[in-house]
Amino acid sequence: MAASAPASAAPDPAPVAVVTGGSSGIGQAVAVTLARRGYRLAVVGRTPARLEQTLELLASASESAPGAALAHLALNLDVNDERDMQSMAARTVQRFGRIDVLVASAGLGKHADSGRLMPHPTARLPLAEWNHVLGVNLRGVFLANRAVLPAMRAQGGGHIVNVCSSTTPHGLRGTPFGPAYCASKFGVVGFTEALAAEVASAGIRVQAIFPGPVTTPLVDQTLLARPFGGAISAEAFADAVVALLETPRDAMLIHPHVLPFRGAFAEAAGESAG
Amino acid sequence: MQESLANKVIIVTGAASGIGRACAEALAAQSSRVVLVDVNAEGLESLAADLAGKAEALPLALSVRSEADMTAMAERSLARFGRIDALVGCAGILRRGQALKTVADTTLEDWDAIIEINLTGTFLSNRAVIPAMLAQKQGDIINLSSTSGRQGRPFDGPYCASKFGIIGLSESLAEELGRHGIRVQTVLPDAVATPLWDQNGPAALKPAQTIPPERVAQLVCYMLALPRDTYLLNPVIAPCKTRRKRGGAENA
Repeated sequence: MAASAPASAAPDPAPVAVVTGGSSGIGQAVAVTLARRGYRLAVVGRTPARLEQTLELLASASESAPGAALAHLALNLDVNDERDMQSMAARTVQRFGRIDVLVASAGLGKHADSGRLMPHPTARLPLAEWNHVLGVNLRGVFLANRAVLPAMRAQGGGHIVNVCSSTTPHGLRGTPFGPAYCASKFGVVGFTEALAAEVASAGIRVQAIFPGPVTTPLVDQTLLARPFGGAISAEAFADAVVALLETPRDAMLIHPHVLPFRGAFAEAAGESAG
Repeated sequence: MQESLANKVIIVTGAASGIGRACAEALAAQSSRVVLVDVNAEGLESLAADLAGKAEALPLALSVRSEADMTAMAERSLARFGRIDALVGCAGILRRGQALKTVADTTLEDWDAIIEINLTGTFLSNRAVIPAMLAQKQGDIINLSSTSGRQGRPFDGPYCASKFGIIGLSESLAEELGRHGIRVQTVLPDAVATPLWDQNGPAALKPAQTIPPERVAQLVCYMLALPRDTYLLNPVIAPCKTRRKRGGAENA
């Protein structure tokens, strides 16, 4: 697919991509990969220091991109805030004049960032945690998607990729002790399918992508990778996002799951044990 | 990140037409060494002639329904190239003849033909390449299922059963072989403009609602070239219904 094409194959001069959750983890990897392919980036995050660091990574990634070096945009905004997402779209359009791509990557792991290692059983799950996970993972996807639609409609098209999740080696399934996370991610699937059917006639392609565990600090901490036997690299996942974005416009992949191939990890484990 | 497919020895079943042919052409364009398998000897010759000078190609007029043929496929591939890096299982039919049939009207001959080509053929072609891949401790198998492998449709009972079966078989194989470095993936195409799709006859969707087989071939190449620690689980590739342009003008 497109990911195996040379970097010069990026469409149109300097398309514009917004990446939420773009200042860390897989969002950051996606942003850097897109910058390398000549995109202009607006990265949305909530930690100024990480946004600054991401801007530096993007600047050096753009040096190897076709065309002139590009100034990217860092937006210190919250996906779970309606005004912030309106501001995201307005400031991106103000700076770059258009929004070709949204990659909605902002999300929480299985647990709210409370520092608690063990998950709550559903019977004792605090409403605040439920709301927090649903707020970022589902409400945030709605707000980010809704915010970019007017610009995409006005341009006559666009492309949205919502980052969902594979919770098991067999895809997205309900898993014990993950009610809020699973509900939020199933919700993203329903939202994505509904929006895709609604805006296809406006030339806007909306897709979800389902990563298994990706090698990020979060996954390392939560042991999420264990049932999968390993984790995929953030770069492999970013390549898959690019492959979705650069698939010719008459076709689309529906709900691709990008997972660690267990053979690779079984072999590695065998080697270290032997 | 993507690995090169150059010089990889890749067997494509159903190579004479449709998605199989598109896969063979796409792989040849990436300088793979391709083994072309089909019962249609004329179609194979024409494909081999098209690929001449572009890539090394070994055409084999064999049937996926035949156990002996599939054994011969693996043996002749190894004799020619010394290894088998990948198998892309595309051989399949939608139905016998063009008439839509209810399950109640389906003859046992209809049932056997479709199940034997689509499902038993996938089993036989997959099984045939496994010993070589085990010896290499590496390999890729990509089987072609269908969106009809997830959702039954009326008037195509045997086809849907065969395509559901391919997903079950492939997931089973993936679990068995993963630890040996053999990666088994399945692609689920929706409406693709192929001779198989044309078996729908007058009932077929209009071309605007199908995608060209090259799109599926592009996805297959992408999946074959994934880094060894990554795979795609049962991706669906479908036409993207975009806006019809009126008079070729973009709306502002």
